[in-house]
Amino acid sequence: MMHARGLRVKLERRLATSKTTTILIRMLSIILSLPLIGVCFAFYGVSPLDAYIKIFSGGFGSAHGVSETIVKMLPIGLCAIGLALAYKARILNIGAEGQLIMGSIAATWVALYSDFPQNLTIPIMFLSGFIAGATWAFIPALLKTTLNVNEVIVTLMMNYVSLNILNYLVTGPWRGAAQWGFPQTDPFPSYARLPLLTGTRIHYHTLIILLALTFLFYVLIHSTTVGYEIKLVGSNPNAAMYAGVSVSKIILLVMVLSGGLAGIAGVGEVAGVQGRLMRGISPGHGYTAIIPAWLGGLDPLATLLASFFISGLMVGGDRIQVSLGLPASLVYLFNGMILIFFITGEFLTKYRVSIEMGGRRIWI
Amino acid sequence: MDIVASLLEEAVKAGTPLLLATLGEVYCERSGILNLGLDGIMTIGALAGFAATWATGSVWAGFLAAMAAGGIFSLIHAFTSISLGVNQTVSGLALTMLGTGISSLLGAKYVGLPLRNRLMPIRIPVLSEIPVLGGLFRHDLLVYMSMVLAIVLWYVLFKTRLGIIIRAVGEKPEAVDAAGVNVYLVRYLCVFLGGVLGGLGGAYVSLCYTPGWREDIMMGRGWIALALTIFSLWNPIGSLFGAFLFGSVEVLQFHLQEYGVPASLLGTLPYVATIMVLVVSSLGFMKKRLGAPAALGVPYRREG
Amino acid sequence: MRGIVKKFPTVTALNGVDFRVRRGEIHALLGENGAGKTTLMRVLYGMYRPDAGEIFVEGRRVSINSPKEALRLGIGMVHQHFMLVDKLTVLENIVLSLEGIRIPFEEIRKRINEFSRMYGLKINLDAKIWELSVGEQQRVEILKTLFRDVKILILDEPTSVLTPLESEELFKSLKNMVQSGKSIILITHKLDEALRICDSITILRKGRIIASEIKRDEATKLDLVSMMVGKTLDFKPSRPEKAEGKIILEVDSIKVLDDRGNVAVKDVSFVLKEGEILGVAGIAGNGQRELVEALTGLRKIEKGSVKILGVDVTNAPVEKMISLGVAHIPEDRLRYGVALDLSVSDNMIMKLYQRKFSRKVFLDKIAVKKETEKLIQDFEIVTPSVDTPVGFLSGGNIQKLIVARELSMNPKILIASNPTSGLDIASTNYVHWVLHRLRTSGSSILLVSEDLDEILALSDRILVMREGKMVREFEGGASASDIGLAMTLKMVEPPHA
Repeated sequence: MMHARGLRVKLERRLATSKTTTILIRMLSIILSLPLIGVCFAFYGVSPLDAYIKIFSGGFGSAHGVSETIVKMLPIGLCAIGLALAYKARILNIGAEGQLIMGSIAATWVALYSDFPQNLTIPIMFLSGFIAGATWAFIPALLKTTLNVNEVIVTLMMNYVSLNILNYLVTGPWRGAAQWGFPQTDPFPSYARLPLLTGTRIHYHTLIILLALTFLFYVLIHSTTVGYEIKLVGSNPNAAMYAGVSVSKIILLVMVLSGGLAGIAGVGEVAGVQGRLMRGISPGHGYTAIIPAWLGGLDPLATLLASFFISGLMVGGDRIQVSLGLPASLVYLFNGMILIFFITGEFLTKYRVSIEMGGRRIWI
Repeated sequence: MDIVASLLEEAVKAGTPLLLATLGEVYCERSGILNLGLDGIMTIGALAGFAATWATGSVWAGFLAAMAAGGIFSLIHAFTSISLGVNQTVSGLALTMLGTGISSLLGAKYVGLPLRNRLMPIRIPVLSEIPVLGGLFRHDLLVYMSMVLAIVLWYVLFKTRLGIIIRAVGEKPEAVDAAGVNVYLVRYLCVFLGGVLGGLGGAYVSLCYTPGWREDIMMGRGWIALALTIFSLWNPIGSLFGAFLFGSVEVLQFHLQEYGVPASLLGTLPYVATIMVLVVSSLGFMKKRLGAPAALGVPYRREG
Repeated sequence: MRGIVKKFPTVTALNGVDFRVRRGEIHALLGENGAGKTTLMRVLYGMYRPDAGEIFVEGRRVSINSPKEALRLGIGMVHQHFMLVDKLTVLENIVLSLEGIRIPFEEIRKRINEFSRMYGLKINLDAKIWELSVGEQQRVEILKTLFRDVKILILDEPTSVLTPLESEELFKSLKNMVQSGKSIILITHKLDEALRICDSITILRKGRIIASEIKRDEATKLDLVSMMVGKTLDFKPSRPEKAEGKIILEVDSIKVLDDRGNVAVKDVSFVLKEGEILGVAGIAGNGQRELVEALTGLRKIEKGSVKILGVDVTNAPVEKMISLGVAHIPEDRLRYGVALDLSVSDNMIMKLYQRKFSRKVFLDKIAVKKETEKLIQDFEIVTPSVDTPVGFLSGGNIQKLIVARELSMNPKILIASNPTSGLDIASTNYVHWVLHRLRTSGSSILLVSEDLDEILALSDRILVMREGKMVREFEGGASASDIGLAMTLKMVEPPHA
């Protein structure tokens, strides 16, 4: 409780919030963050309105823009859908980046160093990517269920381990024939490259997988017993125990799934976009995906939408970087600000603020 | 021998920004707040330090500016985590993104600028002439200050009432509340300290280590500092040795690249070691002795 | 303390209480669970502000707004749940409770050693709290207050965590303190303790003073018990002839540990027959919680066995217990019984979602909705819709939801733990009626409750649990005083006429 000269502000815990209130607060918090980012632009001498228009048109305003947005949405969306599932069970998987990298490493191995029949290469790449990402996520999950080790730290650390493994491979044993000194592998053979939609860079296999999985996860959460158990574990693990749910199994499941999806995202990046493995195969997609996962309210469809939105912002951000001379890490600024406002909005969904002044009281 | 000597010297230098940031994070986590925004704080500190030095010509002005910037920036996380009780992981990540974004936005005009004023190394008489180990005594003032700081912070944390309060807040805030101490204030101060030292560590990089500013100047040091916090078992003396260790890894990595030895695999060591430390400290019998502060990451709300 | 009134949202804890303590005496504040003893002392210690009433310390009227102020007035309190930090040492914990920045550690050591000697409170200053026994930890708490030069020391149920030997040592220390002029208020429900060491006894029941300042030799145990426990409720449903139903649940010599690793359930055996309500009476903290958790699959049974209709279910997973028809109304309903963010229908199917409402992996949402609506109607649960998050419901309705859910399982055995705690009269009566109806339909109920009135109103047979054992068994029509005696005394012989 805070006092200030006749003004009393009290915080009361809400036991639960209605859906409408939640959505309203979320929208409000995102909208409120925009002017603040605008201030940053202004500080830099750029008209905020101008900048926003350029960003939005860059990402959404043209066919080319939209196609580029979709290209970015593929890895971000896949990671986000998976992360959303984990967050629904209140498991904070921060390791999508590392799981993505492991997926891309697995796909590279299949493409360049394995002996599978050519026509099976693509499905095997996806499968191996899933397994690699899932395994990478399984380790922290196991540590959590057996020793209750904090998954945030472990998944974070493993991101950096995977990054180093990647560096080792592309500068060492997997280094391709002289490529201007830039560390990367040889290009994938054509049968290991994902076909693209004509005129775009969209690797449609991954797109189909993304859409299919979004739908599947939606059905999973809303209509199956497993989805129910995940919801229960996320809402109250004690009650889940009391109801006979195996909390450990749920934790392992959501981690494996989210890791696997990130792994698939990695396959898409390496076999669909880049055509080879290199340093920087993921410019932080795994981290960016956390935002739509949270913004989407842990609902797969909303998460997909939010991923599209964020990807569009990033594409637009790339555009204005060139045209307005702004640095590329601008996107991080957006992400950070939106997230801060978002979580502050989250706070409002958990607590009711009552302001009392001069005998009258209002609630927010 | 000379190689070893110069490696040691470089290791100390490499470890200093890590040490500073870690010391701050140790206090922060000891009070129960997990601050994943450390990388963002260090980046902002690096920029603020460079910008201030560029403008004023004084390195110390740069350090002060960095400390202020880091501290103020960390207050955002403090507010969302302590007063609002929001999920600290997400808040910290948001802070890192913000920090990276803001600093790259505001720092674009400083890229590539040379630094005219630098912190000169101080050679301690006699000690700096010792073969091999002499390298330890030929550093600039901030290096020595950070080592002294580690010892001072260790003393405060374990030998004074303030330290007892801080540790208690991170273990069982109800007990501290019952003793009449303002838990929220203690946490705010510790987060602020984490920001101040994080900013200072960042400034050391941009002002002394790789003088200059560019976008990815921190190179993930903030995350290494987070790992180091756990690796040092939340003990400033542990941080001192750990920073040196992690610094050596960084230096070795850099040099070994020329010899084709898998430098990157070496780079996994700090992270793997941290995971192992975390696992061991979570084991039942270890938890009570060495484990993480019990209330780490848990927002405190007074009952009734 | 005069005319103290303290109201909480659901209940009036103190209703005009007068309380007096003299210098140099050990004063017992006696009463059942929920009598208001702890609340009264928390008012004295500044943790609660009274809605009405006054407090006088040494003749002066004072207003105590925080523990700090209480300490300054020389009033200290040792709580039931210690406020100690496990990882710190004894010395550090004591330093934590002091004021000021510069702490002369050496001086503190000296003073504490002095207190140790004076009052017989031996302790190793450099041991970490987690290394100490519970009795030693309590000593640290006491030392903390002594350090502040308290003149009035309040102890809240101090012996509930001690072994008999440790209790003896505590009493010796208390006598020493009193001899040096301090006054001690002992909150307790243990009658024999009060009679043994206290100079004066005040009895509290449901927020009112029943008797005050009784001197040790003035009353008999029986008088005191009946004052503590009072009369029974008037709701006494007619019971059919006690049929010799078959044995449904057989518990044999089980041993269960608590969270700290100490033995909570020492050696408990009993049977539950078909169509009966078996009440387990007892003051909270005697192992009931651990017993219920063990029987429902939430806690490990270290020794002994549990059989349902001859099938061994010792340490069976929760899933199995549910499938055998064991329902559970948990004591801590918000923690275990419901998921607040989820909807009413989500919570309603918590036990049966696998068995009744799913086809393969898919939930039959239509069936779920229908069943939930039916149960809402049958049990008169007040809620805007089936999709409303449970957190919006009132406490009474949440409990009704839990009861409805458990009963919809058509359980063979219902284990109900304090099913009406915190509920208003209407909801309480409703739950009682439902339990009675369930029993009539042939199910068995194990009713574990701290509310003796509830036990007496519903039970066919009554077990009294104390210190991890079932100490006595009564028939349904037993008198409250007899049961109260069994709950509060160590002796097990029947009372003399």
